[in-house]
Amino acid sequence: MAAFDYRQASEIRDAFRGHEIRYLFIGKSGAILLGFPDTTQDADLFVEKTALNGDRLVKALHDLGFRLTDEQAEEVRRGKAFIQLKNGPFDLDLVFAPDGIERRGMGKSGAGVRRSGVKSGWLEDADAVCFVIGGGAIGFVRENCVGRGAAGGDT
Amino acid sequence: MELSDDSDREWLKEFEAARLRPLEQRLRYAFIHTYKPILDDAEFRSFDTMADYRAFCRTLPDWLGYGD
Repeated sequence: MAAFDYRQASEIRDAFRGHEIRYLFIGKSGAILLGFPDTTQDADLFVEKTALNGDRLVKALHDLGFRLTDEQAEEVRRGKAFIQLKNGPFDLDLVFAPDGIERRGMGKSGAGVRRSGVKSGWLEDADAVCFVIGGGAIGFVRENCVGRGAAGGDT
Repeated sequence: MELSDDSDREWLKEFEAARLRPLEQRLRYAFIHTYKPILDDAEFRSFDTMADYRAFCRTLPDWLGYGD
């Protein structure tokens, strides 16, 4: 198993965009995408827990090359709190209920996540990255990060 | 930005250096892969709650750094 790389981050972006999945890179992988100079071993995705999003996610994972049994696919669709995937081209953690992030109404223009009173929004095209470092701030990129190398946002 | 001590300055230098690298290069430096016993020995794991996941992490070797 090779390390997660730029091409794979781009593939996630493209596959998830193609299936209109609502998600965020979180954890250290999200922070690294934003420029945090550190190392990690896998990518963590915070995926919105809805039946539609779960169904789309299973299809996107299949497109990316993850081999899910019917039972595993159903667990992804249901959005179990934490799922570790090591049955594909790279390691991927799916987090449907990340610690410290309270999900709010995720309407088209509504707020998405809240931590310590800081409110951010979801993007409809899912090209968003958020990060949580040491119980502190949550960062959020408003534009396509993977592919452009842009790192801007609000906290 | 106000810097409180030398370690802050070192951090700032690292961030500045990282900022100058293109994203593709940053990812090449940032993501590594080493075998992690137990953790890498199953192709799929799922947990109903984050508490369940944290309990699993406490069964991993300490040196992996996944415990409390």
